[in-house]
Amino acid sequence: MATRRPAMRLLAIDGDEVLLALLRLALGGDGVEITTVSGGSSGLASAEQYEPDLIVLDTVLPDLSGYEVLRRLRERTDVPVIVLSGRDGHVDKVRAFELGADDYVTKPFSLPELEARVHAQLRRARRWMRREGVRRAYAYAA
Amino acid sequence: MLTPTPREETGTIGLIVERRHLEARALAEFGDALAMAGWRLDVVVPDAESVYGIGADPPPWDLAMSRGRDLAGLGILATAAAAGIPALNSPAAIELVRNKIAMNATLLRHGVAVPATWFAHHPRLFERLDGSVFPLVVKPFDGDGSMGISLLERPQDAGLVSAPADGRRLFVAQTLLDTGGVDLKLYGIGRDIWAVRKPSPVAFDGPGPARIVAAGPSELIELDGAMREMAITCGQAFGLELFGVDVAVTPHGSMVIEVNDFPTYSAVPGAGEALAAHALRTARLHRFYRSVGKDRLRSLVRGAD
Repeated sequence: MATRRPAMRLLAIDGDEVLLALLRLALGGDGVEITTVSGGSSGLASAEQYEPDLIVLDTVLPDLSGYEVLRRLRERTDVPVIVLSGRDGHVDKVRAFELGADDYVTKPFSLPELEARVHAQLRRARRWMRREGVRRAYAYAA
Repeated sequence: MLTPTPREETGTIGLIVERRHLEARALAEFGDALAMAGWRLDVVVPDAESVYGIGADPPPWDLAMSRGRDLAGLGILATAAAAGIPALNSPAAIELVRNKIAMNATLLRHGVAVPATWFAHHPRLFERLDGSVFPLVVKPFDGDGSMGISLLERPQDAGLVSAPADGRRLFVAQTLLDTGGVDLKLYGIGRDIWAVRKPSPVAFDGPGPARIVAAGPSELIELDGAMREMAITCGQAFGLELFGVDVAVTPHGSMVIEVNDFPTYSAVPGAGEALAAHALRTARLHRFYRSVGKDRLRSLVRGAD
């Protein structure tokens, strides 16, 4: 049977306010609490404060680059990160994975596919949390 | 489960529903949940006496939904969708599962296990099939529920199924699977999936038309990963968001017998509320899509317009 678990926390960091509004509508509510921020520095601060179970991160942000945000995140946590980027070259993808991305989705994206990828990462995060005995995947320190 | 609604946000959902489904528990709960969220439900009951117009002003709906296979109802849904009203499920998705030939071909293409299936203009033509593939279950290609099901135990039984030989009908024959008289139903609302076990309403006393028996009690059972994967794959294969999957669990593995749009959700706790949450999410997404504009939307999302 479909059981209701405590909501998982998702943090979306993207420079595009329209995209953030879309992610709030599309990904929020289905057992997921979503917080959105539009800058790299504010994204890092929100990650500390909000302790998300999954981060969706753009590579182009108004202040820091998404790659820099990812590098700094990986200094403190192994929380799953899906990079959501308009760049579809293999160099960008390889770079993101080298920096510790768990998945890479290019824009424009298929909404059902993004949902499936988000929920696949959250499923893995839940298993980590159970195994490690922590309340939030963000606490799974690098 | 319902996303909190800003006080000023409201809208109307059009529900086209056959009269026989009007009293369904899930639909009553659906209406209540919408009202609690501040949304209106406009119920349309298609009937055999009305004349419907195409091209008239579309109804002021944010979303159109259809429960049932009444052809006039599906026509109203198609008319609304053509006028730009988002539909849940879409007419194209419903048509794919209404036609059992298209349904089986689509399932096969997506690697879903289905019973061996044939189709022909008249049931008597199935006598040409090799005796080793019998017993077969025969049904109209566009049958709804348990309507018009017959059993052929051997090729000679093909004459037991009556049908006009007008070349305008089509019948499907499938290998009979031994399920021990128990059906497994997988119900889907978006990504939420439930599994329900219920006694089969179809009984065969021998070759010929089936006997439809009163539906026994349904039982919600634990959903495992394989069931979930099967249900999600079926929903995605047809582009259905409200769907049911009839599964035959046999000693040789599970096979999908049928996929249906907008099922009863019997024994699914909170089905009406889940339906409302999904409908509101869909309506809000489409309202957002319209506000963004097509070009901008295409730069973000594939297949949204």
